[in-house]
Amino acid sequence: VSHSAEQLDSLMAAIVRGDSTRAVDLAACGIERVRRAASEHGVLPLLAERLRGAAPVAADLVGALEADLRHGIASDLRREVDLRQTLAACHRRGLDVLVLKGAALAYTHYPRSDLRPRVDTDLLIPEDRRSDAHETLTALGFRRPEQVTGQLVMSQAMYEKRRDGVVLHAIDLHWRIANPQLFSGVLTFEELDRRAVPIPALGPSARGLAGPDALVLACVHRVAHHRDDDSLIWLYDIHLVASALTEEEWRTFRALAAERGVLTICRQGLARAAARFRTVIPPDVVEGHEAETARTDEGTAAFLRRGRPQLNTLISDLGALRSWTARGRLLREHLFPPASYMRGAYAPSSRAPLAALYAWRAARGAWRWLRRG
Amino acid sequence: MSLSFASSRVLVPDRVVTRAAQGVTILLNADTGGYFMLDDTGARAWEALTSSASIQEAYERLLSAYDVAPDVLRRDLEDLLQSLEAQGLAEVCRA
Repeated sequence: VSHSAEQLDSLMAAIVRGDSTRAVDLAACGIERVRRAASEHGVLPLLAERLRGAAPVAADLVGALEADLRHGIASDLRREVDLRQTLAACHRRGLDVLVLKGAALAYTHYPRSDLRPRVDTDLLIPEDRRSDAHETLTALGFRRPEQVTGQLVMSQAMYEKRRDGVVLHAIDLHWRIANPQLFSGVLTFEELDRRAVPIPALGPSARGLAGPDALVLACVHRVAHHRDDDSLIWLYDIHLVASALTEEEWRTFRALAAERGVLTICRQGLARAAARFRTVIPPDVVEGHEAETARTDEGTAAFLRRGRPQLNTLISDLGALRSWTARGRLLREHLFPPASYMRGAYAPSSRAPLAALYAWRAARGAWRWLRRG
Repeated sequence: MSLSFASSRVLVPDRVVTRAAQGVTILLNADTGGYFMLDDTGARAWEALTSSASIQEAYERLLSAYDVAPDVLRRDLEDLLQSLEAQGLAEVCRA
């Protein structure tokens, strides 16, 4: 039996939403192909969990996925212990932190945290506490890998804790929710902090986003940072968060999405989640979206266009900034990242002049920026 | 050197965190990040070792629960404890 990529995605979604009768069809796709696809879609642990009951018809596949899952459980436990220590250290320092996206949903919406794989832990802090956060993380053994930096070009910084060269825990420290200018202020730390909810599983000081905020962010994130990516895990996040909303929270969500100009994007995310996981969306939310979207011209909706070159994001960023000074600064940050980054990323063991490295980077970048994504 | 089961017991250091899921029990050393994975039988041995007043008591509990030769069980427990001690996941307290 030969299944197309779309059929395979559809089969995986069916299993994840609990339709184990499709296990035979999934097994027929071949163990390695399923493992690869499930891993790329971030649903390997969920598949393994769901398929346990179907073991007799897909024993080899279940065995292979379970072996992966067990190592995932160990990594998850290690990361959880470290995150609890990190959040406690931030609390002791008087630093308010919100846990975002998969790192929070793993504990608030999934039955077990290891069922929500993630490469890093997203944390949000107030922008004016960045140096406090840096000192706290550094004291805990985290280090910053070489990364482009800049006031406008990045809204986040990566920190890694390594042992013997292996990353034990990576933290993506945000002070705004997204890099593209159009999205960076859609939700601010201050308002999210006011509405935040506890995450007891991560310790007494751990907090994450309220349901409507989490849903807006889940919908925005897959578009702003992942170009309308249809990865099943992003859609399943949306499905779980949406399914847990109360009527009142749905109203809050709808009003928030409309007010912040991300209605079309949220509607798209919900529609995609519903197509894969049969998410139940209150009719007035969908209809309301249609009516209000028609009335508004949301610039953010341009990010839904498939194959959009990265250059368009820069053009959108420049348009969103209010002054020519800021626009100039953004361009400078794109074109001339710090010398330490250039040296580390492009010529760690050579003495090539910096000017040559910047020219080389610009030439390579031009092609990447113009390519249709 | 053979371990005296009767005069020894197992202590779990504070740095050890455990989680049971998907048919395995994970023992994590939170200080080093190293972990050990136990299957169902190993998990029962861990439970017996960490809840008994002595290793001998755990050994006898396991002997009555499993169809296993006494010397095989003794060797298996010694091997398990050696591995756990080496990873800082258990301390064998000798009287």
